[in-house]
Amino acid sequence: MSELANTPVSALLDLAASQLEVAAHTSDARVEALSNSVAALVQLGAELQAAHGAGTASETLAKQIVEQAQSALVAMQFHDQLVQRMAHVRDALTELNEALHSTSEVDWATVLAGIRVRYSMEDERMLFDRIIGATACPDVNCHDSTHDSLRSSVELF
Amino acid sequence: MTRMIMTVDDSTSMRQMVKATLLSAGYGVVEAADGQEALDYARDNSVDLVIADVNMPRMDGITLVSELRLLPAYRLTPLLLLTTESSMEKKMEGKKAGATGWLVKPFHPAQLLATLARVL
Repeated sequence: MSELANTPVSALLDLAASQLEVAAHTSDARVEALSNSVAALVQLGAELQAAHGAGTASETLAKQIVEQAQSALVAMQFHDQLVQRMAHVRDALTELNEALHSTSEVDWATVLAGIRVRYSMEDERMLFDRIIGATACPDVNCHDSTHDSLRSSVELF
Repeated sequence: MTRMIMTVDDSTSMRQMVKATLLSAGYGVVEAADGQEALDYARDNSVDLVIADVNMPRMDGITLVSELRLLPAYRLTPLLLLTTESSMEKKMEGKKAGATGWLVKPFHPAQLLATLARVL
């Protein structure tokens, strides 16, 4: 067990992980209410658009409502990403704390690889690689960002 | 006849956003909170297309695709994965499992609808 396991460092890691958990979920209900409202606006706008003849002023306004609500839908998806990012940081802190309490010698490369493999977004992996680097995490699966950079937002197989 | 689409995501707000996009284009929508719930529904009901997240509790999206492909009614159904996951390795796993396509979040409604129009 690391000598850090019996210091406030371990408790602080635990605290940070718990605070991230709370922060991520405190906003859930409100974001859900917001997304419901925006979703309803998209639907109402579409119904308005369908109810008015093409080329009329009302149809043009309805179309603008739909476009604005759709922009809001895109922007709101960043909350989902934020929650995922926070979960990945929380998991990393928890894994680090568990490593500090390990009774056997810690294989840090394995711990780091375990943290990295949880990431789902390219920029998370890139930031990890930039800060932690290949020396600390030599696992071959740790460095596949070159492939990630080739991705497209839509790919049909 | 209205085409039925199943959106599968453990995030309620994400399901709402996909649902709103689909309803506004005239599709019918069924929701499932994870792969297992989606699979249970698909065994007893028919949908024309599935849009699933990858990372979900109980059953992930890639396993869901594999399981759906084993059902005769879903051998040819378009199965799209909509996810923040961007690694090529995962994408290849999805393709191998039988997914029709891979869409990276955040999605734009017009882009999602254009993709649906291509695969339906």
